[in-house]
Parts: sequence; structure tokens; C-alpha cells
Amino acid sequence: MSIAFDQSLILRIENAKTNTEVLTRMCQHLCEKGIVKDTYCEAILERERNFPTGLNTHGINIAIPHADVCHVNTASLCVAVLDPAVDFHAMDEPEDAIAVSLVIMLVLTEPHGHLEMLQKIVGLIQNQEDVKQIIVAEDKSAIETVIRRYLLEA
Amino acid sequence: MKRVLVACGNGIATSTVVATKIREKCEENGVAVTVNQCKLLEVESKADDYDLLVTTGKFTGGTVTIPVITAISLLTGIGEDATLEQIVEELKK
Repeated sequence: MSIAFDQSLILRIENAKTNTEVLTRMCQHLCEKGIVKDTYCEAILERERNFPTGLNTHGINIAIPHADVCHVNTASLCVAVLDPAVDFHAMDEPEDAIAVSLVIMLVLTEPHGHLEMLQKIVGLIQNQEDVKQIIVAEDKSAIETVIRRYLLEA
Repeated sequence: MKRVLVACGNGIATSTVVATKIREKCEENGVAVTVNQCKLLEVESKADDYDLLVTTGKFTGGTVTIPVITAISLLTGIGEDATLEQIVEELKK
């Protein structure tokens, strides 16, 4: 199952105040492109409230929001670089807020599926050098190059 | 055969990665396991059928009598090997 990803799915979000604002903008973008249904945004926001997705990497923190597959039309990824970082709650310690600079929204169509893609994204999360390259990238093509290296290569 | 329940918020994404890492680690160590996934909200009703609960998010949805291991490290990479060892040790008991 292929995953839709190109530069149009990379966003730079500046001066966002809350993670709700960040997630809403990402969801609206996906909705406008027809990748998700109009129920997706509420599903993402509710999920983030109940089960937050911030990952404390002790470096550049990342959030990996995702919602139930029934709200999705096309399997995809949406990436947002946040400048400055925005607080998300931590997945393992929901009481704690952590400053997140990179959001990788997993837009999935198969429960328990997409294993290869998920493993590659986790590989990226665990490589802070490459995460940093994404954060400091001057343009979207540089970000796309880093992410594609993970998604496409074995 | 030991039975492991892996739970995350939706039971669709992070538990998939974690379940696979547990299967691979157990295979390397010769521990026979079946690993199933569910949502954190379903844990309380399912846990009795399992020997170990592994979660990515914080489990606050009730009480379980089986051991619980938090496996956020399998996503962040920080302390990943130690967590996998802990899981194998628990399953060897």
C-alpha cells in the first residue's frame, strides 16, 4: 500500500499559539486536498485531548498525531515544522507539556497496517541528526529529501 | 506460549510498531509469544487473557492484575534495548 507524500504535504507553521491551532491547520489542509473526510479534524483533536502524541526525545521533540482509519480517504503523511515550537502533551506522561518542533501526522487507512512506513518514521524520530536537518531546512524540497530517504529506501 | 497485549491510544499505529519489535526480540531470544493489539480503552476488559501488558501511552483506564511495561522508548529510541530486555525477562518468568 503506497503512501501519498510530496512537497504539498509539508507545512511551515509560524507563531502558532496552541497545538489545537497547529492540528486544525494541518487537518484543514488535508481536507482541502481530499485526503481526509470532514470528520477527520474533530477526530484528531479529540484523540490528542484523550491520548496525546508528543514524544519526548530529549532533543527535538516530535508529535505523531493520528486518528481512526474511518476518517481517511487516502493513506498519506503530513509534516509540519513549527517555528517557534508549540506545546504538546507527552504520550507517556499526559500531564507533562513538551515543546514540539516537528509534527508528523500519520494519515492511515489500515488498522494494524502500514507497518513498514511506521517503522521508517520511528527510525527517523530516533535519528536526531536528520530531524535537525528537517527543522533547519531552508525550503520544502530539503525537507522532502530527508523524509523520502526514510520512506523510500529499505 | 506467553501472550502479550500491546495497547496504544487508537490501537492502530504505535502499537503496530511496538508489537513487531516485541515479536522480533522474542524470536531472537527463543521466547514463544503471541502478541495482540488493542486500544487503551479496551485494556481492562481484555487484560485477563494475557501474561503481560505493554503500552505506549499512559495506562489510566482501570486496574489490571498482570504486569505492565511502558514502552515509549520503543518509539523514541531512548532506553529501547533496556525495555526490550525487561519485556523478555518478564516473559521468561
